Amino acid sequence: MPFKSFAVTAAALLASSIAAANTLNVYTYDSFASEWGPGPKIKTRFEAQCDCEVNFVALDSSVGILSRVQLEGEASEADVLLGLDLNLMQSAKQTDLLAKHNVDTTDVQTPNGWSDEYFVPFDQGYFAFIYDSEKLETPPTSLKDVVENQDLKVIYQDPRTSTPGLGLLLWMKSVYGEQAADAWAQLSEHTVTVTKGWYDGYSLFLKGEADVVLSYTTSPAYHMVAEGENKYKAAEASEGFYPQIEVAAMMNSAPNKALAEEFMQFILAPEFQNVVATGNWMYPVMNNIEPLPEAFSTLPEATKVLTLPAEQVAKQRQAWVNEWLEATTR
Amino acid sequence: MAAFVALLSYASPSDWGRFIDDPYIWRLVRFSFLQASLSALLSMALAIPVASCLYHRRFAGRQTLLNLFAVSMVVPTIVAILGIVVVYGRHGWFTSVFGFAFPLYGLGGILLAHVFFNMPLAVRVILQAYGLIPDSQWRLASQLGLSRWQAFHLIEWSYLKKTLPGLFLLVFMLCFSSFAVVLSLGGGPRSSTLEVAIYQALRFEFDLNKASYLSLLQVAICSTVALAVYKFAPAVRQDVSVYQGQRLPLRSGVLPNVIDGLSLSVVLLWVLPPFIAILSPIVSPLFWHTLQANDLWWSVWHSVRIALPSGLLALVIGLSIAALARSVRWRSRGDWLADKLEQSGNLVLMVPGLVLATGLFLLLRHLGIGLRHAYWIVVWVNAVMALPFVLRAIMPTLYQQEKRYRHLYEQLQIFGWSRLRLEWQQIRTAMAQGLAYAVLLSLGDLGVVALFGSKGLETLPMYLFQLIGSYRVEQGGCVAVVLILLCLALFYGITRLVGGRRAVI
Amino acid sequence: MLSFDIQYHWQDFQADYQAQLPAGITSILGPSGGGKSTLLSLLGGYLSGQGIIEFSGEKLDHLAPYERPVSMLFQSDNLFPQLNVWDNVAIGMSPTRRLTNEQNSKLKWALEQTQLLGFAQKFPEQLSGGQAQRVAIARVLVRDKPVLLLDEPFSALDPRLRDEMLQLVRSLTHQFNWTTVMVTHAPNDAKTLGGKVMLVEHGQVQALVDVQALSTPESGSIFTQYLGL
Repeated sequence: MPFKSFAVTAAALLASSIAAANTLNVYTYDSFASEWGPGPKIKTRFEAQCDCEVNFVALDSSVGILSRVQLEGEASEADVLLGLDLNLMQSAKQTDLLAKHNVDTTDVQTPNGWSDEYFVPFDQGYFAFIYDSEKLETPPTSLKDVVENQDLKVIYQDPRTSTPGLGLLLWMKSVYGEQAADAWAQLSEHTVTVTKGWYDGYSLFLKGEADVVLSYTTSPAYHMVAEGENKYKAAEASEGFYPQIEVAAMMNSAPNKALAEEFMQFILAPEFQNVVATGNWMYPVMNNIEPLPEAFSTLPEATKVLTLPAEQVAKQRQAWVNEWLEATTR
Repeated sequence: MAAFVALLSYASPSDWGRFIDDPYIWRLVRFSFLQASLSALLSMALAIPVASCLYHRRFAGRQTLLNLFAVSMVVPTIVAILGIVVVYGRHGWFTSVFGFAFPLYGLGGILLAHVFFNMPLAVRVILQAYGLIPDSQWRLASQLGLSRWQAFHLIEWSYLKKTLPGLFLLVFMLCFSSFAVVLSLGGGPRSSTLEVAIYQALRFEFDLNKASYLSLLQVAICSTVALAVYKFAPAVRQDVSVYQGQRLPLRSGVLPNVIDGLSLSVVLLWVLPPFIAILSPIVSPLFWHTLQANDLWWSVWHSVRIALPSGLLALVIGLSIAALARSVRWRSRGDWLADKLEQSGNLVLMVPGLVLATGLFLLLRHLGIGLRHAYWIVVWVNAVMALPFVLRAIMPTLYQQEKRYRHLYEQLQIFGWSRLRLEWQQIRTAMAQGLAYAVLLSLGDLGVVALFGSKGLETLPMYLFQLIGSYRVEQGGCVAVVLILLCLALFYGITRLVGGRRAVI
Repeated sequence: MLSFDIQYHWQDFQADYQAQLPAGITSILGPSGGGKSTLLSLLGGYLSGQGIIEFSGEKLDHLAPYERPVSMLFQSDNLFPQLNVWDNVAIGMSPTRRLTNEQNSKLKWALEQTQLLGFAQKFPEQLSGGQAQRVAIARVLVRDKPVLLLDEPFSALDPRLRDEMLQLVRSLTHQFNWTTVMVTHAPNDAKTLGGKVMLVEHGQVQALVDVQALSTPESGSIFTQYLGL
């Protein structure tokens, strides 16, 4: 009897270790892994080439991914983190949990090119204010228009708790510089509300609570492609748009390093890049792909792009958040 | 408890000096305190006449209203906010009826939403207290010809005032740590709560030290309020009557009719329209389309799979605490211990859910327990979080049983399990209520399951947020309807099955 | 004169009562489950049946308990535990418990009659069973209703106290010309009270006679059966 139970246990252990050897654990955010997100297609496509199983662990947000691995530390079962962004890169690096990748990123089409040894970008977009063209006759054409037009009802997200909110903070800073505080004060005069996350604000906007809401230039494409609704438009920004780049990284402690490396390479492959436009409603980062759907050509083009250096952002983010707080609660 | 301590072990109190004189934090504390007190007072002020009216009157739709009240607190915040916006928003029903927009964004909106969440809860808690009034008191009231107001003053109030301090505290703490509602309807960062800072510290800065300081601050403030409130709690002057009779008429008059009418209209105009707005997708073709999605039914299954065991666990833990508390009450120095036991349940509410879950996460990591057991962890944490509600539901009834029959049970040496079986008919309604609350809370949970999220735990609220997070707001609304219907079904099923057919509330 | 002709059905219990009771005391005797308390509850308005109840020509059957010219004492639970003795009596005169000078002295008088003057500030849980029932009687006194219904209110008291209470009820009934109806299962109580005695069994009034009938029952009468003679 003891032998039998031992054999069973051993077999079970063996089976589980085999399963582990062939499983890639990807931590991502919920909407990426959802049935309408790019997750399922990417899973099928990668599994076809790797003879493995992709296991998406869906966290509540991109910040959620980072705090989950921070909590787990070295013991984390994550192989790849998919869905951090430009502004989380610095704090992610500081955890010392990430491994360098060896993906060739020379063909990456992000503004100013891409050269980061830890992160590989997988899609990109630009923060923009969305409006309903049937209701708003003279839409803003610049960030200044949004800030200064006291008749414009605005909803944006909180930079303390959300990614787009932080994006706006940096966008304002790069446009207004030292005058940012005054601009915030001016904006707060006609702000409807400042929400916790992207979806709170966006759904309030869809219910008609504001004239414009902070989102991405690509947001109207969703309404056109998925709903056949053409009235939502992204406002132009003559000062330039602020980019949002979503990135992936590999864990130092990845239980399955070889698969993780293979997946990092896969991110820039057409099989992955073709999915992001209509899966995540963002722009791909590579040129080697099928043409984008018609709807994307109607979106404002980011001819001018503003960026602040990542180190400066990491260093001064808290001060800028405080400046925003001061100005808006004045 | 242990989970919270685990987080504290990451704290270095010597650094706390620099947080203490941060004016930002104190501004948050001030606002949290203000809005929570107002929300709790307003919820209670409305709940008392409504509960009295619902107790004394029987009308068509009364039971539906009570069931709806039970689920209000599990409506996901974003869904409730959108429901409120449909009614009170810029293009809402309010505007089209009155011709001007309701000043939704600011303190008004926050109060509106908090009353929407908590007033129904308060009504149910108060109605439960009403259930403890012996029928013999109504018999006397009827003989002596007391009017509704006099009966309220003499009978109802003396039972109510035992419940009100605890109820105030419950609502106060729920509102104090409210987060998404305060930000979304607050109209700007002027309205932020301490919970925002805790979230910020925990998620964006990953500053466990600061997070534990802020959580301790929150616990300290809530405890101070708790102490102050319990000072007003009158001594238990419970009666031992066991008479059960039928409902007798009270002298009615114009004033009670007017007050009943007014308070019912407040409910009809305040709480009901957002509910109607939330449930309205049921008539859209999209709803039926949503129902056909496989993932929806998977997430329903995952939700139920977590909620039922978690509810049962909460009831078992709650019952153990309650049994211990009542066995020491009315004994020398036992009251003190009983009070402490009761209040320990509240501590769970003071510590932010995210902090609790994070602490537990760290604790388990220390113990080397991996996330393979995520399912059980989620079940356990949800059970603990539901504890305050379970205790509130079962404590008064268990105390009353103890007071009435303690000597009988002692004399006959009936303890533990056999006593529970004997008591069952008397306490099953309260037990059902506790269980139903725990199951519902677990069903509506998002924070815990999101932090521990893994395969096989994609619950209904998570599914809802995935939809909304992928622009599918309308479809998310449909899933919310499914969630509410599921809650109603479970609530009805549990109160009937466990509570028996006599279960009134 | 209190007269009634009422029917009442509850599950498989069927009752049909008819009788005319004169002023003074009537004791109701009968076996347990025979319908004694049911009759009292019907008279008090705590149960509703079909038929007619009349007192001095006034129809009572459609009136709420508080509208009837009736005070009723139950076996227990006659007091509000949250009120002290004074308030428990005062509420019998004014639901708001705001009394005129006249009412105040009336209350004092009632407490005197029931020997409760020293207990005015006590709460029911601090009283003995007999004291609690005396408070209830004090309230009956101040309410001054012509009909008094007693549902075994003294059955839990010791014999001496019980006798005192019965004497009190008897003298008050005569003093104020009440129509008092008391349910009891002790024939001696009926003898102490005097007046009439009514036998209720199987939901019906089987007999209504003077109390002397108990002392010298005719052989073969319905009372001999009940008394087991």
